[in-house]
Amino acid sequence: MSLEERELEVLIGPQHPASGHMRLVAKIDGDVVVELRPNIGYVHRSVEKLAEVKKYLQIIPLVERPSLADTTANNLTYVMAVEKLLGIEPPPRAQYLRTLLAEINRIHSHFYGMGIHGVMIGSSTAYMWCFGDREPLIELAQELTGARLTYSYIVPGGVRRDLPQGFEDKVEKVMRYLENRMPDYFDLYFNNPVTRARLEGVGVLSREDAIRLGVAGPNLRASGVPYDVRKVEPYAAYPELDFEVVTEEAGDAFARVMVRVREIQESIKIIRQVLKKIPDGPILNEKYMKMIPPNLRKQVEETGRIKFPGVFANLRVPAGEAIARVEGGRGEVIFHIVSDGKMSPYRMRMVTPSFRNVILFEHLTRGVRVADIPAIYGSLDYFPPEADR
Amino acid sequence: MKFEELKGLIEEKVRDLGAEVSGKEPNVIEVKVPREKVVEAAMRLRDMGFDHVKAVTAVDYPNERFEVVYVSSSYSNLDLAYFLVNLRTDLPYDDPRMPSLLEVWPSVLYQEHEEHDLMGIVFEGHPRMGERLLLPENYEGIPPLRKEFKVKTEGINA
Amino acid sequence: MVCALDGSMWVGNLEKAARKAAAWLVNKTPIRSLREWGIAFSLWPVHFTTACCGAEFGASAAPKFDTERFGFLPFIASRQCNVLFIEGTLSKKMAEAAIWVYEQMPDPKFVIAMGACGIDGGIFWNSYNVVRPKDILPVHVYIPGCPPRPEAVAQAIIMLQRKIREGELVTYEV
Ligand code: SF4
Repeated sequence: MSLEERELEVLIGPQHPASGHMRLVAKIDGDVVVELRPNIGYVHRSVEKLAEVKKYLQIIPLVERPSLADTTANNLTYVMAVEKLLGIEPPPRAQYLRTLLAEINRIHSHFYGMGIHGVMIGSSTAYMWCFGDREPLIELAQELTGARLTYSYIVPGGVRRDLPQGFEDKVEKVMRYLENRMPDYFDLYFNNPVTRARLEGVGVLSREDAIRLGVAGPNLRASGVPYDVRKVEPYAAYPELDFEVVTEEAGDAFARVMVRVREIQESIKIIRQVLKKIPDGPILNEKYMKMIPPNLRKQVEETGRIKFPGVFANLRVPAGEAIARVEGGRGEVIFHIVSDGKMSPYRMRMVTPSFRNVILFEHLTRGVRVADIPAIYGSLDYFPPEADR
Repeated sequence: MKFEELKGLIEEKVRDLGAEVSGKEPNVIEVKVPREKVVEAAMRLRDMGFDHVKAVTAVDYPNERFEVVYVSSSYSNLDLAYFLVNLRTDLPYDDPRMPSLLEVWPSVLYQEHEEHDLMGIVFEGHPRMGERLLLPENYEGIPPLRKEFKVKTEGINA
Repeated sequence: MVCALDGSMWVGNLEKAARKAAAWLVNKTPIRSLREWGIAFSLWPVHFTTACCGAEFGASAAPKFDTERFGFLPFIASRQCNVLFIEGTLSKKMAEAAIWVYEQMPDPKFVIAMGACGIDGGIFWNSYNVVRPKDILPVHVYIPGCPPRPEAVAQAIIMLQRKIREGELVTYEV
């Protein structure tokens, strides 16, 4: 039989065990994938269009929604782009608080990715552990910001709340817990022969291809490219902190998971430094602090919680263009905002790491066995709402 | 590498293409070329080390023009990674087509497809023109990101 | 037609009569409450993530909140499940899939819509690509919130169980 006759088209999803809202259209020959095409758009909700009819502050919750497990990255990037247009700088304490939340978020986003990966390769223990260990971090973030996942913590000019009392001790407790917990993961999961057999050497992405395809985040670093926006174009408090860019050489599914694990360890280091170095001072730019009426301002100073006056909602941003990038949990987030001086952006382009990684589904699955698709899918930490926006 | 230095270098490279090079401190360099020259300009940028595209943004200025912006940067050369080079080109409003840069930068595959889907720009030479990416298969009508496509709003001026 | 021993003759459809008798019996109190109790504690939602609320749904199935103690365990295939959990926004493309999945599920089946998006589009109410679940499916329980906390998911499950045990949702007819 010719190849055309033997080929079979298989539709995987959008309702599939691997918990993802996308369809994979695979052409297979026997057990081998000849070609695989992701069919995305199942969660397309037109964030870019809606941003054009919302005010600048209303967009903050909007851009968080697409990547619910990694909201700080989007929030921070968007606000940084707006700040570039406004020409304001947040005070140092706010920079540190931003970094703190970003790192807490990075850890729990990595746990999320690893947990989902666990489900996909059939290890529910990994899922249970990762999601369980994610909770203490969510609790921390909740105490800091008031919400479990959708923080909207970062606003133009600063952050919304100051550190709560006794927060440092709680963070230290959680960090110690995580450190003690990490070896267990290696015993049970990463050094498990079954896991290794399913991940090692599967879905290998070479360094050249990773660069050529414009891959982002841990998937890029797992192929040996030491690119991390926190080092390349440092933002928030990162210039003053000491950390390393985690890379792996192998470029396979296992390396991608390992990058995440080691990044968790780096994040723990960063969080400790942040809490040690955090300076005293205001958490909102002076210019905006002055806009708060005096009686409210007193309350703000007492409670450490910013209460904005109504005029803040009508924030006008000068005309111009700005591009901001941030290294989120899943990779580099880009916001490109074109403003025409009105109350809403003229055009807001939002490029998320998952969207840049979709291309890997095509590239990595050529010639693999069907059973390897979930292992590769999971290792990319791909989050469909984030890709579809 | 210094900003001015790089800007001068790029200017030298693409001057004969009729490109306007400008910059925004500290790290954004704008290169504007006519659409016939965009592939050539992209190739020269790539050869300088700008090896991938981070974002493809199409902006609609109704009844005037479309502007397509390729935000490129480097992964392989970490000195250049700090800089973003925006390759821009203008397209006439009634004929929004331009050559695809897929041959130069494979990383634009999905991004160009998305701008085609949502903004209705035709990238000639892109293998997936005419297919839907994010919108439902049976979507008809004006591409939603164009300004003439209106969504409902609340209140009087929201 | 059945002839009894004493010579009398009963006319009718035996099968239909038997079904009627069974329905009568099953709808009588001890069996009925037993049956509803059974249904209420074997809710199998299908793995069908529609949008970002899925992240909180995942958290509610995980150790801290553990919805499995209500007999609620996400399962792979729609043919073996009886709860369709709409986790957030339904886009137009996804709405089609939701209907297919719903139609494949065996009766009795229930629908829970999670999140503000599941009620009325939430933050995406004016998007061109969203569908309200109530327009295409019979929704039994809504969970407000954006995203709802895992506790709210648990509460929705308890509400659904209560509804089932009150006998509103499941009917057994000939
Ligand atoms: S309700 Fe909120 S969290 Fe849930 S799907 Fe809608 S936007 Fe996402």
